[in-house]
Amino acid sequence: MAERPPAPDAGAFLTEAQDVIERYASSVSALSAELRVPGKEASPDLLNAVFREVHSLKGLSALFGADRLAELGHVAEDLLEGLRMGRLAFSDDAEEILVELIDGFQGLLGEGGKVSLARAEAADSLERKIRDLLERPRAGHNEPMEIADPMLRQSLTSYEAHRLLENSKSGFDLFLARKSFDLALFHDELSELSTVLGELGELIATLPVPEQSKGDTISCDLLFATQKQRWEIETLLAGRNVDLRPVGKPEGPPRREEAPEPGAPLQTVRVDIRRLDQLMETAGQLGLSRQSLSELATQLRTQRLPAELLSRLLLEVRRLERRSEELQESILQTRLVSLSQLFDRAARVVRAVARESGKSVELLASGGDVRLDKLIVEALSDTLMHLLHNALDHGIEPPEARSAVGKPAKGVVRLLAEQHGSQVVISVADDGRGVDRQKIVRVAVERGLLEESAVAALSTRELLGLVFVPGFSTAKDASLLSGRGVGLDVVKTDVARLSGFIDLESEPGVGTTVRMTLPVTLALLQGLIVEVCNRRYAIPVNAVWEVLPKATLGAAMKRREMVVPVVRLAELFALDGGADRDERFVVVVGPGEGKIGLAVDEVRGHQALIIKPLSTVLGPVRGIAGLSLLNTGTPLLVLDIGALVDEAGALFAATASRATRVVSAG
Amino acid sequence: MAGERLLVRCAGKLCGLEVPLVREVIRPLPVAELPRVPKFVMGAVSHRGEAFPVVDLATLVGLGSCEMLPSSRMVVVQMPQGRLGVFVESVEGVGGRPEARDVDLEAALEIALTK
Repeated sequence: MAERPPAPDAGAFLTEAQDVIERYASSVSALSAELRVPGKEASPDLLNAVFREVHSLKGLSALFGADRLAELGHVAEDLLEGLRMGRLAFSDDAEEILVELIDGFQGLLGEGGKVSLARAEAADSLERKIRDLLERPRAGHNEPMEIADPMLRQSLTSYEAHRLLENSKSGFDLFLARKSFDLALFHDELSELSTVLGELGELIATLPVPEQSKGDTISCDLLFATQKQRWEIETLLAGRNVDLRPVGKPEGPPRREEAPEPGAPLQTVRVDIRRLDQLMETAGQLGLSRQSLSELATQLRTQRLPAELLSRLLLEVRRLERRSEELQESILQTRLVSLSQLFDRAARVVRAVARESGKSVELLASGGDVRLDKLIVEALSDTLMHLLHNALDHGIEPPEARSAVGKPAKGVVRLLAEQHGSQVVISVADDGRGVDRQKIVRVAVERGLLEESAVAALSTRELLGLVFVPGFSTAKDASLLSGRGVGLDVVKTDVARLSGFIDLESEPGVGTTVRMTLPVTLALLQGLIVEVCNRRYAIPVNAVWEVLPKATLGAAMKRREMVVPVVRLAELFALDGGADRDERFVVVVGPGEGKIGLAVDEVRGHQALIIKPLSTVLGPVRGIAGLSLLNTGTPLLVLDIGALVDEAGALFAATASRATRVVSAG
Repeated sequence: MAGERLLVRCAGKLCGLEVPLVREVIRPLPVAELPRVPKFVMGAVSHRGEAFPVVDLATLVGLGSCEMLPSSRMVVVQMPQGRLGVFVESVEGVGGRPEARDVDLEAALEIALTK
């Protein structure tokens, strides 16, 4: 008797299925974008990608007993199979169904084991739509043809055969290019030739020719379709030792149907991100060993060793250093993922919210190819959606209101990601009504966040900053989607947890921009090392704007038309002997409009740091984000700049009038 | 008897720690001094890829403070809220000794933190 498989891990299923659905959504959205170009057909690559994801989702759901999801996946697979094999025309209906399937899958997944009636009905109706579509035969697809060349007929998968026939029907010529590759260079040379042929048209298949492969050479036939003349191709391939021959036009009825293959398998593995952390840790320790080796080698220099041995030792130590850096860098790269999935989700959210609220909104996104640590991208998802909800709910006005003030009826939300060195700035900008400053003041006073008398002294930034204060929310009527009782204070905390900061700018009637500044990764951060009272701290360099020599220390200084409050780290941390110091440097840190200066004794250069968050067994330590190990093995505290900026801001506000005097005097 | 204890010495006195909490006993590591924390917190260390605070057991239970001796050790314990280092003057072994003072770390931390 076969044993039952071990109880499936529901959490792993959810994560994995979620990933598959996200990838599906992303491919569908790329497909839609492609179809929007007039005269353009759905590209086989994208259709394959969509097919692959549905195929995985079906398999995964069946494995974990999510039967309803597996069933929908199965029907969706039929649809894609029809589209892929050309049995079905790619109509608007088909595209719409592919888009609706995103929510369909998502809905069934979200419900877990029990499926509500509403979800089940939605799935039923989707399945009906697909079946209707599948009944509709494709016009002009009823004249079957067969590939003339018997070798090809036997070697091609049905999908490849289909591509061959489609290309032939579109009037493309088909060729086989045969080449013998040197075994040692096979991989590179083949991919190079594939690229060249792909540029001529479509590379349909690569078929090995065993009888021609002898000794150290391996021979392949590359089947491709092109509109180019034979002499053009031959000119292009001249000197490549490629033997070109045309493939006969297809004719007659096909004789057989082969089981389709779900495209080529992707060459990827899934890795628990904690394993990457461990790898990073090991690479870091390798760095420590390298350091010790290098010190030993330096000591040996005085030991009258043969010069040749010593120089080889030193060379190897240098190589080890380079390799361990490369190792860290590679591990880092494997953690990075592009923002595209997040951006795709953003597009769906904007569509959905716009539909619900009856607003007309266009999302202009750019920078989806910017790459960030997977952990950051995941943690950012809810935050970003929250900001988009805000932009649509509170920013963009209804069409009539927009027309009334002379704006185009269609609102615009811009989602932009840009990389600046080791940091990424992600902004959400709307061209809506802007933040109502009077309303902010009213609400803040009502909720006891602000004294009425203090209002006049507030700068624009301080006033706008009130929206990030816990307990503040300007949402009067909670919409279906954004009314989850989550305020911007949570967004701010979430961003701070990622060693980032958030900033809001708003112009009444013109729009609002929220900007998040985040590190590319939390795994390896460049840190500026500072010293106060003989204690060293690291400041993430993505938070550092400039380092100034401190001439005289006022409570604030003016930099580029901005008042920057200066706090003495020694005083803030209540360090022994911190009372009467004369610091030499001010490190300006913090978000765009909320910078502060940290006065420190010394600046000791910067270093790549692996940062570990500090265990909160004793509760969080204010102002400390984590700990890193220096090459010498001594631990180093990493400052939480977001928290220090807030703390300094509060201190500064308490003595605002005094500080302002200092500024005007200086 | 309520089970065996890890017998440790702090400020010269014998104390017992709950064995199931103990992950390992290591030689003292270099400590980064944490700002604005109670006196019983010696600082933070990084060990096996994790960063956690270290407390002086003697200060925590009100016995003064632990001296740094050649026999000094750091006991790494796993509390429900996370990992913690406990600095002691020596580790005497596992067992039950009537004169050993029983330390309930969780309760001791809670009391010390609310002070």
